[in-house]
This record gives sequence, structure tokens and C-alpha cells, in this order.
Amino acid sequence: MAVTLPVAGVKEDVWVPTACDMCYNACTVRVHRVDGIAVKVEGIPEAAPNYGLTCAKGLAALMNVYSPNRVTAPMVRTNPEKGIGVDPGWREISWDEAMDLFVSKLRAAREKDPRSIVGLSFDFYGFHFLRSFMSAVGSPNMTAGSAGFFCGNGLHPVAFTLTGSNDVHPDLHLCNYLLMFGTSLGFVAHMNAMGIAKQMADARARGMKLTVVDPVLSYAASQADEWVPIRPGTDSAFALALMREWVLELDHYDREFLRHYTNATYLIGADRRYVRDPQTGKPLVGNTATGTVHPFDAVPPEETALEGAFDVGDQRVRTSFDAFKEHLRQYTPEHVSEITTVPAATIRRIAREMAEAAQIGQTITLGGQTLPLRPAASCWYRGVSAHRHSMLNGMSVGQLNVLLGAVDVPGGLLNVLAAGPTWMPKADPDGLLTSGNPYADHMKGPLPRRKVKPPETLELMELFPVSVYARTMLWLGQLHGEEFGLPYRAEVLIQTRTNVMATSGDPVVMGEALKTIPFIVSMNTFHDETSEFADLLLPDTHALERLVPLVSNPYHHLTAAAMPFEHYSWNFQQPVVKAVEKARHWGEVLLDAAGRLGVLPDLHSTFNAVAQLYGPYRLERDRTYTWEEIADLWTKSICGDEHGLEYFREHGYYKSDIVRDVKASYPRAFHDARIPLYLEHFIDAGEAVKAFTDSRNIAWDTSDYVPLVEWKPCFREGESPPEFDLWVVNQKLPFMSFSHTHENPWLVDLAKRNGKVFTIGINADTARKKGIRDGDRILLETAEGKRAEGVARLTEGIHPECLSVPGVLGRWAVGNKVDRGMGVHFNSLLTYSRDRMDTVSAALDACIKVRVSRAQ
Amino acid sequence: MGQFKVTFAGLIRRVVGTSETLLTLPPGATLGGLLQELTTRFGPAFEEQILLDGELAPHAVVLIDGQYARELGGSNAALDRQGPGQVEIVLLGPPAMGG
Repeated sequence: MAVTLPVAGVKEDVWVPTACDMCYNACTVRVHRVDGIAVKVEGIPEAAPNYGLTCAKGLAALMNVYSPNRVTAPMVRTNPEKGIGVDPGWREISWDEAMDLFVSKLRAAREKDPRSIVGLSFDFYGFHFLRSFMSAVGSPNMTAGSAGFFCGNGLHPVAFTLTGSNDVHPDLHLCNYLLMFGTSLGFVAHMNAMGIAKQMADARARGMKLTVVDPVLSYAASQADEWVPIRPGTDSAFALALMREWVLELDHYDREFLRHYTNATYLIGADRRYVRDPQTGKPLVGNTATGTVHPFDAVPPEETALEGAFDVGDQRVRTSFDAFKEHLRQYTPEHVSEITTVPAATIRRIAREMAEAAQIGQTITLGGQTLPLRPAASCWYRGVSAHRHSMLNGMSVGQLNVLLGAVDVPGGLLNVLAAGPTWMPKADPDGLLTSGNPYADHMKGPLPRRKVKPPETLELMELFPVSVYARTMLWLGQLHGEEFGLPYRAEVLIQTRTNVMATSGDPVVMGEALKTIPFIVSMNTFHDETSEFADLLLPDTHALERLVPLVSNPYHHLTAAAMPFEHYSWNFQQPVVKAVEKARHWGEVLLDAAGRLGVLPDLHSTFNAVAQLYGPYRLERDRTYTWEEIADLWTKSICGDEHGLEYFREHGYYKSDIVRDVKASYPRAFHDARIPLYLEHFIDAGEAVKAFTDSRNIAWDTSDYVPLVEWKPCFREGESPPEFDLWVVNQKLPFMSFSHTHENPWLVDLAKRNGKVFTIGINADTARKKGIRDGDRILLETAEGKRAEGVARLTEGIHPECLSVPGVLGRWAVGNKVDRGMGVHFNSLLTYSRDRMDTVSAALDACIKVRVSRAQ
Repeated sequence: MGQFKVTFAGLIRRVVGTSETLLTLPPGATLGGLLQELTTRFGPAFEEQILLDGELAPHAVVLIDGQYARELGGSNAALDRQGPGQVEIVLLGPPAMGG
């Protein structure tokens, strides 16, 4: 805490280091406090992950602290009717009454079936505590970080597949050509938003070419060298066409990378499966020198056949790369141009530019290590992921990096957590890449192989053996669990600052699911669309009012991962100002509830396990601890005895001496676990899912469990009548995050001044053809009967077949006094049903087609 | 022979139905042997939750006298000792985090 010189009449003037929470990135900031009032937020130049930079959201955080619309006291619902726009009839109660009610409901649910307790939180950094609490009460149903409808379904499993990490980022220090699909990475979005924004700016300044593929001239596209407008849901076809050009036309791809670091050499039989050694069970490869076949790890990579056929017994088998090449033939630029609307010449040009930029064969020496240099990468996010074929889409774009040999090498696409000071990716028995990070078990990867089992989780995760999560299914599991033999339903929902009603699927379906849950406790700073369904509303603290240790853990949080050659750093949140009235941090409320419920010993054990506390810092089962004591032990266990609560109170962050070195930054050459270019493990996974769903007569599409990635349209034949001729696309706003920044008057004012936010963007030519003028009020209608109205904004910055609606607008919560009713709520146009979901990754398709007309 | 107090926490409590139990194991026993003994006692559901392909499942955290079993060799970790020992078995809920 830094003290500045006093001025006349001022009794206190200090800067307090802490961490922001206006999105999930938890940037390190310091807050200027004068006479007990927070008056300014700014970054700390030397502190990771944002190194002094702060976005508009962070700067505006003060307005959330002092908002007159805060939830300030516990309240109980008096209106038994629940529904969208229904007034809960809140009645203020005391904290004792509130806790008695909460704990009595928890106790009853536990006695019935502990799995019927569900916990949801927006807070990434609340993950440790929420998971500990949920495990202690005996429920597997929890999620932290978001509602799971956003971006990760077609990203995280692919990131695991390529690197063993749950996320990836381009090496902006060395990359010379970056192809971005449906993402605003580097433009105040996604992980480490401000740190990567700085890196992106530096990369652009030194000449990195940026090409953005997106239906909308997004913030990223507007800053790029080239914007490639594309029809929604077709990115995968575009990626496959690029790969076809490299492999079949330009003959320009990284053969050595494929031989050394992928399963492209593995032999496959007519059944599409690996041909295995009868003695060891290992996949076989061919030896080019001898023409014989051997287990994959018995032939030096340079002698391993990437292409060709071999005789194994009475079978003539071929390499999986041969199958891959043959598969690519169908994706000619002309054919893909029809799918994507991107001109064939553009596809060919981008393929050539990117391949040349990859500098295949070049090396670089870093830290005394000579490594491949591949300064070209592709990255992707929601635009690719939020589709019915999310997994295949993500894999297609991810594999661009594999063919160029640009994974986990300088200049390419890098892991964020797969390699660290003491860990590296590991190989499974087939030699394929799995996570080796002992601190990051918070997501499962597609490998090692998982069994399909009758569902026990409400999100039916057991039916998604290659996905990282299946949270979109949670609400359908609640509504239709009997179909899957789920033996219970949610009885208690603990909901902390995740506004699933506004940020997930169709709110009508969401509302139906919420209405089936007998007791909902919402811990929130503001009234929102989800808390309107709550039975008990508890006032949560703002980030500037609460103590949360280690909100950024570079071993665990993808948002805070150390970039190449950065020091590993941790930060934390501490109270900068006194909490408003009766607000309490939800973590402390759960600690209190655990004590009243009699599960503290188990909570201590589960917390030790989740936070990986060591030796003297472990919580003893039979003691009680204050929140501060837990914070002290936790920080000391992770950061060392001298870096406990007092250290963090003084400094706000801890920058260790450990640097993310060459090996951890660019681990590809330092381990031999292989990337599955050929997704053989998908075959067994799909068959297992099919066996289960068939056994229960469940309609479940398993056709995307294929070993070779392919493009499929969002809509099946006949699903989208031709009069619904325009797509609606949602886009990220750099000054808004999910829904909770919409309570902030500064940010809403910024949105109003922007002039584009609360409108519906429409291509100017398209609008003229439909007789729509700038400023007209227009009506959007889907084939399913969903409707939305808004003001047309004519622009050249959108694909001619598309309309654009940004952010999470069109809010309806009665308690939202700031931007209620402004703009269009994109998710209300979504169809939230199993038919519109990827049954491999659990993504909900964001492809929406509408008929547009002038509103009457 | 060594006697072990085994404490259960988290989701495994629903499988075993108790917070702790006592086991006596022969000299040279390993954690794998202890888990097999517990499987015999509590049924195959125990093994199904705790082990994956013979090793500790990712969300099963086992401590032997306060030390993480994973760092002692996983299921091969030695339990060879003269005096009484303590084993804590914690099964966490499945992971779920991210956008």
C-alpha cells in the first residue's frame, strides 16, 4: 500500500494494490483511495499479467462499487410465482435468517441426494473454493468461469489435442503471419486481454501481418491488414481448403514435424483404426528403409513412412496421412468458395502467404537451444466454436498449425499451461499427447481415453468422452433427465454472479429449467435476470471490497499464464474500501454454511486437495479457520513462507524468480508425445456413446465422431426455409464483459456514444434491396417464431448475408436501472434444443437465420 | 503388519458411506494394495471412482501421512512402516472451468 502526500483537508490518501474483476482476467491494478473512497483505478507497470494496462471496464469498476442499484441486504422471495419479468417481491431479512434458510435447504437436499445441489459461479478465481465446497457436500455438479455457452467447446479440446493445455495463444513475439477466425484475441478479449493486447500492438508495429476471418468487421478485423468476410459456420471449410492447397497443390507443409510429433505416420486398416502390434498393442508404423512395420516407438522418426502402403498379415494398410491427403481432395478452392463465399483466388493467395510465412525448415536459437522457427499461426474462438459442429470446426482450424509445424515452437501457436517449471506433456500408451500439468486438472482433455457411462452429472458429461465440459446440457439434463436415466434433479442451486438467464441459451428454456429447481440462492452484487428466479438473494461484495487470495495463478489459470520469458506471478484481491452495508463475499458465506452444515472437516480436506496445499499449510480437519487464515496458508503454500497474507496486502502481487524458459515456452522439441492429426480415438468414443444412447432409445447424433475432420453445415437440409435469408451474428464488445458490466453507467454511456452498440448492423447493399434505411426500426423473425426489434444501422462492415448484434444487450431485469431494454438480446433468438447442439463438444449453435422487415 | 486409519472426504463418501475406517496391511504393502483392500470392502464402485487404468484417477487425491501419493509413486507408493499410518482419500467433483 503506497501513501502519497496529503493535501489540505485530506486525512487519507493511499494507493492499494489489488486485482480487477470486471472480466475473468483479474488484471493487477492499484486503486487510489482518498478518505475511504476509491477514486481511481490504474495498472501497475511491473505487475503481470497486464503490466500496467487497464481497459475501459477496469477503469470504470468504481461505478459498480458505488452504484445505488447494489444488492445491499439479504432478501427472501415472497412471490411464489417465478418467470421472466415476474417481480420476486423481495423482503429484507437478517443474515442469521438467511443462513438458517440456506442451510436448511442444503441439509434437506443432501439427505435426499447430495448430487441435487448445484453450484455455478462466474468467478474463475472462485473455482477452488466452489469446487471444494461442492465436493465436500457431495455433489459433482459445479461450474466456474462462465455458463459454458460461449467459446470453449471447440477450443479447449483442440488446445488439449495440440498441446496438452486447455488454451493456446499465438507467439506474438515472433509470429509474422496470424490468421484469426472468429476471435478478437489481442483486442481486449479472451485470455490475458490486456497483456496480449500489448503484445498484439507490438507485433503489428514490427510488421506481423494479421488476417481476420469473420462475418463482421469486428474490432479485431478493423485493425487487421485484411478482413475476410465469411458466411457464418463455414470457417472449417476455409481451413480445410488451405490445408488442401498446402498438401496437394503447393507441396508446402512440415513433413518432419508430422513424422516426429504427430500420428500421421501411424498405419490404419480398412476399419479406420490403428493397426496394432499383436505383442505390445502399440500402433504400427512403416519403416521406409526396410519396408517393414514396427511399433511407433521402435522406428527413428526420420525413417518412419509418412506416406505409402504396407502389408500387415493379409491386410494392405496405409498411413493415416495418406487417408488425410485423400480426404482433403474434396475441399477445392472453388467448392469451398461456394460454401464460404470467400473467392477461390483469395483462398489460394492466403494459403500461399501463410505457407511462405511459416518458413518451414528454418531454425532459431533461443537460450542456447536451436529450435524450429515457424512464424505463422492460426487461432480461433467463439465464431468457430459456437456451432453444431463445434469440435470439427475447432479441429480444422487447429490443424492448420499442425501442418505448418507451428505448434509449441517459436513463432507458432503455443500452449499456455501444458509445460511449466516442473512438468511437461505426457504420452498415453499410444504415444499421444496428454496433459502433464499437476495444477490444471480443472478440465479434462480428449485424451487419455475416457469411458462412456450412464450419466451421473446433471450436465451428462459422461456422454461427452472427448469434450472438456458439457454445461450447455445441464439445463436440458434438469428438464429431461429421465430420458438419460439420471436418478435425481437439482433441488438447490447456488448461483454466484453468473447470469445464466441472459448469457446462455434461449431464456424461455432457461427459465423453464430454473422454475423446476425448488430452491435457488443467488449471491450477487446487482439484481439480474437470474437472481429474479432466486428464492434467497444474498448481497455479494464487489472486488474492491473483498479478500480473495491468488485470483491469478499462472500454474492453473489460462487467463494468467506466463507468456514466453515472463516471470511466473500471482496476484490477489483485497478490500480497498469498506463493503457496502451487509454485503459478504460468497466464499465466506459458503465457509459459514459449511460450518453450520457440519461439513467443515471435509471442506478442509477437499480444499487442501483442490488448492494443493502442502505440509504445514494444509488445513487441519478438526480446526476452524477464518477466511484470512485460509488466505494466509494458501498464499504461503503456493508462494513460499515469506509471501503470506501480509506480503500480498503490501504488494498486491508476487513475482517469482522463476521465468517461463525456452523449454516451457516452446516445449515441442523437448517431449515425444504426439499430436493426433488422425482422431482415431473419436471412433471408439462415438461407438460407445451410440451404444448407450441406442440402448435407451435416445436420439443422439454421433456422426461427428470421425477421425478426419470435415466441414458440415449448421443447418440440415430443410431446417432453414429460404425466406429466412439472413444470418444474425453476435460480436464481442471490448468495453463490455458478459452481462455484469451492463450495470455500469460509464460503460453504458460509452456504448451509447459509440453509436453502433444498441443497433442492428446490416450490410448497406442488402438493406437497400430490402427497402431498409439507416435508422429504420426493423423486425427480425426466425423460423421458430422468435422475434426481435431494433434500429437498423447500414454498414459496409458486415457480410452481405448477415446482421450483427453485439454483446449481451436487450436486458430485462427489473433491477437493472442502467441499460434495461436497450438493444437486442441475441440469445433470445437462439433455439436451445439438442437438435441445435454439437453432441461431441456440447456447443450450442449460434447460427440464427431470420427474415427481416421494417417494423410496423 | 501396519495399521492404517483411512479417512474419506468429498464424493467418495457417498460410495463408502463412512468418514473413516481402519485397515491392517501386510509388510511391504503399497497404496495399490490398500486400494484393492478397500475395493473388496466397499465394492467395485470404489475402484471405479478412484482408479483409472490402475492409477489414481485425476480427481482422486490421496495423501499418505500428509504427503501426496502422486509424488510418492502413485499406486506403487510404499506403505511399509512399523507404526500406525494415516491415509486420506479425497475424491473431488469433476472439473469444470472455462468459457
